[in-house]
Amino acid sequence: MEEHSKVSNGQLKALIITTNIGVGILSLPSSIADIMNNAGWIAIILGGLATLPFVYIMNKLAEMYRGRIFYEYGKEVVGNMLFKIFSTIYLLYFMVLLSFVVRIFGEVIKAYLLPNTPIEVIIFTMLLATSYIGRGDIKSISRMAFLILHIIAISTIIFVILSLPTLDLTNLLPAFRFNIKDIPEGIGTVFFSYVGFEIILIALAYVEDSKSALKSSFIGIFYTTLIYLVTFFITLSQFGIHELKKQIWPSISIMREIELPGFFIENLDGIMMATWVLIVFATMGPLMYTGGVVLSSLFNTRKHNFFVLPLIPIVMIISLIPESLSQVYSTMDMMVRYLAIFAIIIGPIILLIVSLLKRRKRA
Amino acid sequence: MEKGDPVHKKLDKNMEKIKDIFKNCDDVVYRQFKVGINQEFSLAITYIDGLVKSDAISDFALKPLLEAARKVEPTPLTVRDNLYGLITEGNISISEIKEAETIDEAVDAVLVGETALLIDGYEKIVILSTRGWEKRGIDEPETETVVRGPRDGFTETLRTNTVLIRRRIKDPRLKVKMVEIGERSKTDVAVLYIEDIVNEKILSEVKKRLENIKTDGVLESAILEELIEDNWISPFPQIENTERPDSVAASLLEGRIALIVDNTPFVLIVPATLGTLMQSSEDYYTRWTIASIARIIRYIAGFVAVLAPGLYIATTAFNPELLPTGLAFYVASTRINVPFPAVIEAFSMELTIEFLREAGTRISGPIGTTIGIVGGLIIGQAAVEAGIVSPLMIIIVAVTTIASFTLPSYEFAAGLRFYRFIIMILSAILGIYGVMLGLIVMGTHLVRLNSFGIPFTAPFSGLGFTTGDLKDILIRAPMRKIRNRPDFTFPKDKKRIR
Amino acid sequence: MKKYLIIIIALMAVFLTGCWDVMEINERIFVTAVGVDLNEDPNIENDYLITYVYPNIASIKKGESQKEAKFMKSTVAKTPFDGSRQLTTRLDKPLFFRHMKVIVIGEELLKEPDKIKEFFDGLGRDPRINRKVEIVVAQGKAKDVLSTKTEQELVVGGYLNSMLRNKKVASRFTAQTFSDIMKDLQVSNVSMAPRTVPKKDEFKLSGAAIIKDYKLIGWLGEYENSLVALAKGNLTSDIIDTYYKDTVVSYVISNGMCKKDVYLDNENINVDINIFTEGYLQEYKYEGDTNAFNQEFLKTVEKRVKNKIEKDLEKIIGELQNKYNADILCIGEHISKFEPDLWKKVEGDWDEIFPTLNINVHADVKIRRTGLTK
Repeated sequence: MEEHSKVSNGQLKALIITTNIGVGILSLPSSIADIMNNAGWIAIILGGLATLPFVYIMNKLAEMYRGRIFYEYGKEVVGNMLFKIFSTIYLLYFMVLLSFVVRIFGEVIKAYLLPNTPIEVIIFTMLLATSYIGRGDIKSISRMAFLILHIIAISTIIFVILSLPTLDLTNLLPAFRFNIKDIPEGIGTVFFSYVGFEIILIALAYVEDSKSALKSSFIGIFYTTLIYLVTFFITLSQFGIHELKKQIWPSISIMREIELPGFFIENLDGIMMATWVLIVFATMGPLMYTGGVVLSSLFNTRKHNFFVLPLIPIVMIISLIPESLSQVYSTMDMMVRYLAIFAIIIGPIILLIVSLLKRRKRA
Repeated sequence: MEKGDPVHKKLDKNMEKIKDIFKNCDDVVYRQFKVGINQEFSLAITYIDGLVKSDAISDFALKPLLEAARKVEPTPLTVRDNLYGLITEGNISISEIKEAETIDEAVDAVLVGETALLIDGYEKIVILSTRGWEKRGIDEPETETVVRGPRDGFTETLRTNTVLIRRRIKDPRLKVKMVEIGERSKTDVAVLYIEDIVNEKILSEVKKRLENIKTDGVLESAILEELIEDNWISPFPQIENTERPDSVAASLLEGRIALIVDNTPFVLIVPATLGTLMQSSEDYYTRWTIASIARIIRYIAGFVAVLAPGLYIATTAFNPELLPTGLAFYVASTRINVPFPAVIEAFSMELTIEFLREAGTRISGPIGTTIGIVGGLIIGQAAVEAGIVSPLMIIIVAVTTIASFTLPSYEFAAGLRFYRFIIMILSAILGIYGVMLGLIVMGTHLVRLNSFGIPFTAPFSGLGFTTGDLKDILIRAPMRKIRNRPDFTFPKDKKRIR
Repeated sequence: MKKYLIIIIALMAVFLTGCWDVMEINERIFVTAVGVDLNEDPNIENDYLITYVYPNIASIKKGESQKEAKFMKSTVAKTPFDGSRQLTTRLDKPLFFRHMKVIVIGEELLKEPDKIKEFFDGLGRDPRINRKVEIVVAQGKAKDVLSTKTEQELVVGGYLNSMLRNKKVASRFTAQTFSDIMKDLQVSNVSMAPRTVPKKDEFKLSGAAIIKDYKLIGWLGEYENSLVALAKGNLTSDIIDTYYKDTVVSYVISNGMCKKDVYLDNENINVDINIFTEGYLQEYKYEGDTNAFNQEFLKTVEKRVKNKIEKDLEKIIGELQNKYNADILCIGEHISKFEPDLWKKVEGDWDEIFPTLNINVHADVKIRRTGLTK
């Protein structure tokens, strides 16, 4: 039975994809269209490619310290004290990211489904529901990711098929005009929609087939890129470039555009919202779990579930700090980006370099 | 005098002890008689009336003893040995004979329906196997009927049940291991498995859990189920149970383990997953296309059973924009003069259905069916005509109930019932977002369940997904396409022989 | 155990006081159509006159079809979205817009671009309004259009809505949704919306209103509308009459396609509109020995129709270019997509350049079938 306290390849891919696709997917088409117009898809692909080196670094580290999670062997690599500082930054990162995600989630639900319900209630209930799986272990989370991934995949296919009649593919044009100078900004924007795959810092320790873990990780990123591209194309074809730039959450508005002749299928945005709740849950679950794990490594306890519940009030308070949605998208977004740079780029690189140096010293 | 005492030489002393242990048990029978040419040797038998085959005793034990032992030569020394040897090896024509060396063993034997034969001057008690009692004949299982397929079901006698399995798998590698569980009930439990398929780790886990049970009595396999389950708090079962021998045989062939518990026709099958709980043996006896459609319908029914009332509340009371315009207007029109809000309507109708359900299980036979019809049709109809409830609500509640009956596993449907209420409450507060929250919580719960270490949601959640387990879970692929045993049993021998 | 109990009670206390969004479905008023007019009564301060149409839910119930199918309420308001608040003084239930299908804009209102801009912006911003509402312009007052009684009123979308969706038979009007109009306005500042003309007991949906810079600048007739639709590739079916030796021959287009081609010729931008139609012969005055089935006849008719299309379309385009200066044919959009470099150059001066475009129409007409008789 210990065979499947391990994470299978399919589950690893699913974890990466579902944790990545969180709230970024809602606003991504519009924000990238703002920067690069119809050629935004180029930035999406490049952004995906840009994450690959860091995925590789994380895999390499996991390979060197097989069976141990990042937050554990990190203490060995850079020393206990320094790693505690790292861990605190990681903790801050996860908490702010969670607050960011849950706040946007609350705003969307409030806008589309429950205008009169106080946003605190929406945030609190979502955090509570997510904490249930956050208290589980990586097995449960990867199983859940697998399940949700397939649900998402089926819904996406259905939506794409349903929107085909009303698509106007000419809206994609001109698809190749872009300013080279815009590309870095474009990639920057897109990169932070790929945030979430750092879950593999923990998951890789439990993978059952370590040889193909790297391949599976890459495939996970590939599928994420694919889904983002499809979203971008569909929203662009439906709205046209100008309207697309004006929408805050084009991926949801798109659902209202779908209509089949004969009236019956109307207002599909309800189903889209339901699927989207699942998507956000699949992003937040692993984040809560990781938060608990980081806390447990900071306090040197064996189990992490104790720490998950206290995270709820902290995350809720942070999420309610920004006063309006635009503040969320500017200030909080900035914070998340800086912290993400540390978490995804700086942290693993430092650890890798130090580990390699240590290896060389030993040999 | 304690029970662990060895058998005394003197017959009277032994009889005294036994009678003392069985004080106030008026259903114990004692018969003393003398054999030998000169009637000098005392023998006594003890048995419990009703538990023994009385003709076994009279024809096969007493008769040969009384007749033949008369002829024993009365030589004091040898006669004892002869007598004993004669009795045990020569005369008694009962097929199973054991020897007991303590009163304790003899008492236990009598309690299971065997007869104790005490011989004066001997320090052993002969235990004759004479079990036989009133039992139900083999009949079609009431809870799992099929259109085509075998109609024999398990009964309350363990031996009959193991026989039903043996008749289906005539392989010496099918092992039957007996275990006794329960301090007072000493219930026999048989563990069945096929040796070269089953996974050793799961088997040893099963054995370990059985050994660790400390309880008074195991009266039904459900009690055993609760005692060995991974998560006894959960509303969902993690062990399958069935009354059908063909289901058990098929599961054994998949590499699972069966636990037959004495005194109940419900046999446990371990490990169980969500996929197996949704399988029915009839799927394999009908053609694969129909069976596949039936299986898919079951899954849809599962969703309907959990979500329908919640969705009704969510769409009528919170977000009518989810409905197409025509439907929204129609629903609004049906609810015009209904005095209760949708939430109250839904809850009261669900409650009424639960009442009907409970009433139906108490009363069986013609009264039961009448109540079902009376309750369902008339009350529902009257409620609609009185305008208290909207007709759409009745339809939804009826469809939900029927949907939950399509699921093969009654316990699983019960778990879904529990979550249906939770989702209804959540949808009453938060609309469709509440429904999704409820689904998330239910999904998380299911995903965290394990059945003896096997993920409960396999193969949907990864284990076995890529190796094609789904073709026997989600649909029923033709036999020739199912070449491997399912992944979740981790069988030693993966390939079926087809 | 006690800990759980306390938590559960606390949660219940929080949540059960809530149910903040509960509103029974029969306690909502489902507005199906809205009319927005300029308030012309000088005595009242407010600028807008808003009319709401909503169905009588009780009439959907079985056996109750004698009652009125729809209700209508009008109110003056400062802004279009203020209207629903104004009505809270008169209606017992809140208005619900998610199932709204049609918005009728009064002619006078459309002549005030600022107000229209505000209105459209509000429509786009409001999460409660579906972007697929059909926009219709009333030649006159929207209130009149909405208050005409029609015999067979479908509750579900209303008469107007069903008409708009019934595009199959003729193209006398082109239904436009709000998102279509916004899209057109964004790209080339010009859009079209179907026109309704209220009459005594009914109303007509015919032709279109030409909107430029959020302002009504002219009308397009029915026939013109169908030709423009043909040029945009939107035509589903329509009839074109022509003559053959003094008799009218009717040709029905069953399939129309259009390709635009833009190319530079020295300094001039040329646009070729290539129209390809397929159709069948509807009617011809039966005359002795004339055989509508023979090739020569058909070819002549085809040529006649082709000439008619080209001529009429070029006339309309001339009007569009010179009189209205409105690029309804989405030529600008086409250029922005297929010739983006060219578009960058001309985008800013499109208003001046558009009238100078050299637009040629080439039609290719084919008669595929003549019906059942020769």
